[in-house]
Amino acid sequence: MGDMQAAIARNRIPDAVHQGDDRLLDAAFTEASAALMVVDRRLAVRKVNRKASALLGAAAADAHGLAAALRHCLTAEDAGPLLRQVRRTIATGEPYELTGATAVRRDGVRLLVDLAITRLCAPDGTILGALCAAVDASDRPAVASAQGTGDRSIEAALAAAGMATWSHDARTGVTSRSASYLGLLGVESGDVLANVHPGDAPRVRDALRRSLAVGVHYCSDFRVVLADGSTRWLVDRAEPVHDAGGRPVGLLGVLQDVTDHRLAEQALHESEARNAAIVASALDAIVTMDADGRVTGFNPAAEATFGISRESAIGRAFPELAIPVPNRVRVLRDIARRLADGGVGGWRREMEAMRADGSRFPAEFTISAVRLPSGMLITAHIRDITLRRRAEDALCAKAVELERAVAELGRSNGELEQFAAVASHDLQEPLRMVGSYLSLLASRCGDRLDGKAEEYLAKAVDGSQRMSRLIRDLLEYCRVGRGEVPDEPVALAEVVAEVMRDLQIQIQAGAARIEVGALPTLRADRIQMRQLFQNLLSNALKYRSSAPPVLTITAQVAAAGWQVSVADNGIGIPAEACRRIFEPFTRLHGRGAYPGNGIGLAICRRIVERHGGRIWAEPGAPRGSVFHICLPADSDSLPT
Amino acid sequence: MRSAVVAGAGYNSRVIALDVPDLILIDDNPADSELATEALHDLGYGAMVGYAYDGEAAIRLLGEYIEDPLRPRPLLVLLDLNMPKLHGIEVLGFMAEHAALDDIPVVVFTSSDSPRDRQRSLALGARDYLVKPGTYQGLVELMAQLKGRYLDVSATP
Repeated sequence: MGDMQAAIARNRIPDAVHQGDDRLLDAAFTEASAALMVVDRRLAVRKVNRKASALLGAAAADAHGLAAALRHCLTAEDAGPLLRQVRRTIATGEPYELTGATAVRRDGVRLLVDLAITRLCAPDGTILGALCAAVDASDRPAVASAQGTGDRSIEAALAAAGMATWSHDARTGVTSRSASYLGLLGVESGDVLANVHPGDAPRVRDALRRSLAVGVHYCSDFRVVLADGSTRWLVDRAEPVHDAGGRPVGLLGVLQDVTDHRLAEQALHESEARNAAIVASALDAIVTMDADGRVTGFNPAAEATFGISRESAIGRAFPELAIPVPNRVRVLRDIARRLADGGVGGWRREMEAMRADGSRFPAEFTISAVRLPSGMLITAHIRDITLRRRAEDALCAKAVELERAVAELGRSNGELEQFAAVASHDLQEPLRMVGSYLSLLASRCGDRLDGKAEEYLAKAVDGSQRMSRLIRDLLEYCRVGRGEVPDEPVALAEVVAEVMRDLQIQIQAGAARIEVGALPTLRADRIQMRQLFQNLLSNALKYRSSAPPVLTITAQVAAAGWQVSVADNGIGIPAEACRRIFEPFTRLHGRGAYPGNGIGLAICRRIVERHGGRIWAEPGAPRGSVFHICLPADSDSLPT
Repeated sequence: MRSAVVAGAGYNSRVIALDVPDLILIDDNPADSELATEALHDLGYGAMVGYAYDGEAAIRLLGEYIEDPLRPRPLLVLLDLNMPKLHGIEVLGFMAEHAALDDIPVVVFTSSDSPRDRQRSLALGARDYLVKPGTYQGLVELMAQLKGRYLDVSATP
């Protein structure tokens, strides 16, 4: 529409001038819908029509120069170049058009205008001046011109930014939109408000209507529901466009997808709500304060802990509220120093806290500070540890009690063993005297005694010897339990070889065969290992069957170390006795059949247990018995 | 009792050196020393025997051999372990520290059959470790062995 008017102004009016019909010309000139202005070759304004007069105002209409007139109605950016163009058109005859210039009306309203400049010549070709025509183009917004010229880069930029532009001309009801517009709304064509969330649609319509009616800024945000069911948040903003008379005739708008922003905002809100909920429901008292220690936040647990309401606490100095006087200054200095050092991490201390009523309780304070743009935020977590303290104290008392009991047990065990050792040694002396002097008596005075007396003497000597042996065994059993276990590498193969040398006489006498497999090296007490194998091997030789003894010593890796097994083909052990034989002074056979006090296996068990191991026996297959010893080993001594 | 050197006897703990003994018995139990002497007598051994009745007395007696390197050495020292004042192991330690006593053979003669005592004694230079027998016959047999090994001059290198 505007283009057509401009064309009329450019073409018809100069023709009329040529025809010389002055009245018609005047009327046409005056009433033209375009603002027209005639300037002479020196750029003095010679004639303006009504529209131009309205645009420029009375003062401008009287202006003598075009420059002044243009400055009156155009922005500085447009006025200068236009003035040069007018000169150029007059000089060359080349018409000039400028679309989308901004004119400022006298009342300050900005208008979009299209300008056209044409040279005016007399029929003889004499250059008279120029006709300047301005057409109100407010119904065609600036962005529309971008669309019109097909500026792809602007389109691309808009799409990338999740934006679209639109304009609406109320007079024609025509709305033009940038290409990205429909994409944002998720519609292909037709009713652009179709996808707007039903809850938002009425509000959006109202706002648009009001803005158009009154000519005020329009802004609304709304949701659109896309075909895939997802919801996007959009913000639509528009400025009203006025016609020359200042009436709102349209809107220039920008539509923007703000979903990401909204989601971030929503997440922030949720996180704040969650944090608030955590603080509100925390079992610890949480107090926030400013750099001066004035309380700014006080959660329900703090109210319960300190016995003061949030309202009363806010604004008070927290240290005066919560920390008893004897500590206060020192604690404050400590915290201040920590904060000054930049140590805004946690400051943690167990100390006495104070309730509003002045009563004290043990508490754990954790104080941290965060520098926010708005200032320092100090947060204190205070946990009432009265119950924990009480439990700790009780636990501590129990531990002390237990320690005392263990020490007592250790001492009494030690004393018992010491007693047994001393007693058996001291019993040994007089017993040896009894035995020795009785036998000395028999030796020196034998000829003066009858057979009966000799028999009695022999029984007395035998008794003393048996008792001596018993004491010796008891002493040995006690000795195994005393002192530290020496921790040295012991090659069991060497130990067994030594034991076999010691038992040479028994082995030869019984025609026994001993098969020794590969045996490991363990960290152990060498003497006790020797004692262990001495007892096991001599037992196997002693409790032999009628067949020549065959002993097999083997070792294999077990769960927690080595298992060494000593198998024999002797008289065997009844399964039910397999546990009992390791008790001290347990004998399965009459003294006449096999000598001994039944202490050997008890000593074996004691040795093995002192080494952290286990010993057990089981009947052999097909006969005899097997003794198994499990001894712990360093992981590096095990074969890989 | 025949000729004797007595050190540390209850009435006087000074060393009384009546003569130069071939055998020294160090034992806190006089009965044990008596039984040993009786056994040697039964074996026909009539040489000079010296006695010390505790560890301290033993050290004093042995000290004389350090002071007088020319004094004739005993052929054997029989040393008990469990003695008041100074344990036999300490007496062995004292002897091990003094090179002047290197040529005096010591045999431990004790009621203890502890493997540890045996090990420590042999480590400190004892020639042998003998457990006191419970009968007089056993004692005579043991003394016979010791006499043959240490006391018979013909058998001493």
